[in-house]
Amino acid sequence: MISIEELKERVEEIPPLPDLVLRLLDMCRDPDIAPRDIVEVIKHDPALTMNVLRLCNSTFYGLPRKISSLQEAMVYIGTDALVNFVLAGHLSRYYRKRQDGYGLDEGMLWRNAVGTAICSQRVAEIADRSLSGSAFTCGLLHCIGKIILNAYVAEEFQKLLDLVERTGIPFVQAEREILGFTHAQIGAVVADHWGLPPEIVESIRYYNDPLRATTNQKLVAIVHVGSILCISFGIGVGSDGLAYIFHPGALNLLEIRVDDLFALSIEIHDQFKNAEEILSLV
Amino acid sequence: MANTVVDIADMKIAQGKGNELVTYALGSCIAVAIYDPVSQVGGMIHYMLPEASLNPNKARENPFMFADSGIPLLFREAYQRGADRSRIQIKLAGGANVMDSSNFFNIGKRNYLAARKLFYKNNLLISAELVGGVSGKNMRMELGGGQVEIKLPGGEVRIL
Repeated sequence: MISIEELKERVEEIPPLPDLVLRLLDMCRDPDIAPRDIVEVIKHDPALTMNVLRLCNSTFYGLPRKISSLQEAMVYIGTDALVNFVLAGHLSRYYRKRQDGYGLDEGMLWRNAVGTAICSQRVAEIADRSLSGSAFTCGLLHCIGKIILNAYVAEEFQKLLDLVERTGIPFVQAEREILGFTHAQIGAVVADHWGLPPEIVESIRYYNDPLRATTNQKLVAIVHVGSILCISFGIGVGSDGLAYIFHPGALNLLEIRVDDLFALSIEIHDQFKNAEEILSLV
Repeated sequence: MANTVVDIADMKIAQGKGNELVTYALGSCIAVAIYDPVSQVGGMIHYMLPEASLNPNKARENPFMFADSGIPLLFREAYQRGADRSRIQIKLAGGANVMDSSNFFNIGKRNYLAARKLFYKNNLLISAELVGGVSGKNMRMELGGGQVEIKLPGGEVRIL
């Protein structure tokens, strides 16, 4: 079992998110912010500016002509995508490492984060388009707790797997019973420590149990469905496998049908193939 | 040793000792491996969804995305390369499902049933399989003897 004190120490060891990222995430939520305000913030960082331009000119967007300025970039890809790209750049350093506890080779947790981000965004597009930017952000962050819990999972791996196999409980419940905390709870603590907005913290905490969310239940339901789609199609799946509960109540809340998701998964497959270019950019 | 990777929604054929077909990250998707021990011709498909009717345009563009459009092509291509129907061995893996008491999100099961239906209709028998459950799997087939290995979480390997 992990003690609260030990957990706090581990969370404190994680470097803070840069001010630039937090500022952009805040600006994204402000309806009065104009694209030029975002450009003002980014343009002082030459490396970031260059990366944003590379992103815009990647096959992921497949734009008809070359983009050479941040202003143009904003027009084509929009504020949400740009902010998510900056966030992804900072998260990738944590996610790219091997996570042996979860049986994930180098880069696999990163694939799961990006895959869930894309799936969640696509689910949002059919359920509530206004949430698609946030859905991507929350998808990127949903498994951040695994980078802390990984070491503990590694120590107790066989016990966890045996418990899941013997009793048929989901992997997160086994985490709670054997380690004292789930990766979702720990991820929420990390997000809170980073000063991320409450609806993001909540989406990380409850992405496995979306109907418990109170701040923005719809957003959490979207990330839940996105995460289920992602693991079903084997994107960044580790030793926890598909041992996650699907809550059909999330579909009722979002007013979508399972068959909509299967149709969506076809498009997601193509989009993820293109996104592999982005995975190498950030 | 030539190691050919079969991607998601993809199919490959290989032949003879020293060659391998391998596919990774099987969640709800299913991999079907077929092999003729005499000609040593084998093939593998990794499909995502049961029926091409979910998106007929996509099925025309990439038939290997669906069981009912992809599996027949796998057999046809293996026969063209010298495999014989009377000797063909069929092995399946994947088809895992998330935990869903409502049986709503049962894509792994539907994928498996789609393959079973096809084999039944064509009078073909499945030689071995490791399907269902909640684990992700990798599949590898060696073309010298047709041995199929399934790798499970934690490194456990099962021979089919």
